[in-house]
Amino acid sequence: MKANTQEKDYFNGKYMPSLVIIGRVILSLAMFYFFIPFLWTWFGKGIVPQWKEIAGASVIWLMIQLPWYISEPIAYFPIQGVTGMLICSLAGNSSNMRIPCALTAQKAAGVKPGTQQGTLVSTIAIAATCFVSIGILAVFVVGGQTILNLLPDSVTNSLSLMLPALFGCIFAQFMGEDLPTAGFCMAIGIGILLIGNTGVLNWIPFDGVYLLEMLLPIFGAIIFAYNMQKRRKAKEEAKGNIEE
Amino acid sequence: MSAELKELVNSPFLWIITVGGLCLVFGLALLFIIRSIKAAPHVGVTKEQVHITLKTACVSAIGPSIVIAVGMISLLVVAGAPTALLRLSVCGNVGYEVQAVGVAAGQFGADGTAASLTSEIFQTALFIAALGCIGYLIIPVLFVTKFDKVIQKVGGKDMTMMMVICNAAILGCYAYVDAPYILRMDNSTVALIVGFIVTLGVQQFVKKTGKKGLLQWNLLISMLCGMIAGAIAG
Repeated sequence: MKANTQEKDYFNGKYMPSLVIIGRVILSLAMFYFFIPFLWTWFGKGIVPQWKEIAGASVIWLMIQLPWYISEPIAYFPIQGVTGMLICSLAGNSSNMRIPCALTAQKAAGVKPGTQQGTLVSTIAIAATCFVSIGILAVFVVGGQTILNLLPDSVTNSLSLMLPALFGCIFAQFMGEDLPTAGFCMAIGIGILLIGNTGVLNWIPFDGVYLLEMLLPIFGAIIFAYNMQKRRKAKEEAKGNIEE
Repeated sequence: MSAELKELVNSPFLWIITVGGLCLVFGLALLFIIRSIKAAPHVGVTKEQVHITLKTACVSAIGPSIVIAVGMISLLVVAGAPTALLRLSVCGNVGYEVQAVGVAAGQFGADGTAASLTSEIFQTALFIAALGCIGYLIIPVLFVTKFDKVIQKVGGKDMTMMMVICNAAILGCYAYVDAPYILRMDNSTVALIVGFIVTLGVQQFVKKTGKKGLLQWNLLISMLCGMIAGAIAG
C-alpha cells in the first residue's frame, strides 16, 4: 500500500510537474522564437514592414484561428493528456500523426489510455514521432521533388490515401472497447456533417458549423459513454446488494 | 518567384533559424523521453514496454510523415525550403501555412501563388504565421493543468470511468475525422474502409495467435493496404 502511494506520488509529485515546467518554458520560448524570421527580414534584409497590410492580415488571421484555439485543446485534451498537449501544441500534426502513433503504441505495449502507464507510454510515443517526422521532412526538403519524380504517377497520386486509411485504422482499434459509443458517435459525426452540408447552419458565426462538426461527436461520445458506464456501475452495485 | 525573392526565402540565415526551431522541438521531445524512461519503473511500465513503445511509434510515424512531406512540396514553392521545413515541424500544417501566404497576399491585392509573391508578402506571411502560433501555444502554457483538473473531476477517482471517457473521446475524435471520407464515396472511402477492416483482421490474428509483435506494425500495414486498395478503386 505504502509502495503504491509512493509511486503515485512520484507520478503526480515529480514526473508530471517536471514535464509541465519543461513544456511551459520551451513553449514560451517558441512563441518569441517564431518571430525571428520576420525580424530578420526587417533588420537583416532591410525590408520595411508594411504595417497597415500586416495589421489587416493579422486581424483576418486571428478571426480564422480563434475558434480553433479554444475548440482544439478542449476536443483533443481527453486523448492527449497533459504531456501530449504540450508536445502536440509545439510539434503540430496532432490528429493525423502524433495521436494515432501514441494510441497504436499504447495498444502494442498493452496499456490503457487514461491510466498513468497509458500517459507515460503516450508521452514517449508522441515525443519519438517528432524525430521521425522531422527526419523525413528534412529528406523531402532536400530531395523531395527528385524522389517524387522517380516514383510512378500511380504511387505519388495514391500517397495521400494513407491518411483516410490511418483514420479508419484508429477507429477500428478502439471500436472494440465500446461498440455502442462507437456507433453513436459515428452516427453523430455523419449526421452533423450531412446537416452542415445542407447549409442550414451557415448562420452560425466564426466557422461555427465546422466547430459543431468537430465538437458534437467528441462530446456526444463522452456524455453517452459516461452515462452508459454510470448505468452499468449502478446495475452491478444493485446486483451486488441483491446477492448479499 | 523572382531570383531576388528566391535568394531571400532560401537564405542561409533562415536555415539557421530553422535548425534552431527544430532544436526546440527536439529538445522538448528528448527531455520528455528521458524523464519518461526514468519514471517508467515507478509507474509499472517495464523496459520491454518502453522498447515496444519506441519501436511502434517510430514505425507508425513513417506513413503519416511521408503524407505530410509530400504535401510540403506545395509549400516549398511559395515559402522556400527553410520556412516550409520549420513551419511543418512546428504547430500548424500545410493548409495553415498555405492559407497564411494567401491571407498575406490578399492584403497586397495578390493571389498567393509563387508568381505573385513579393518580399513584402513573404514578410507579412512570416509575421502572421508566427502570430497565429501564439494562440496554439499560450493556451497549453496557461491552462494545461486546469484542463487536467476538469477531466479528473469528471472521471473522479474511478479509473474505469477515466478509461471509458478517454476511449469515448478517441472514438468521437476519429468519428469526426472519418465522417467526411465516408460521405465522399470515392477511393478515399475505400482506403478508410480497408484500413478499418485490415486493423480488425490484425487484431483478431493477434488474439488467436498471440503474436503481439504484429501490433507494432498495425498502423503501417493498415495504411499501406488502404492506400493500395484506394488506388485500385480509383
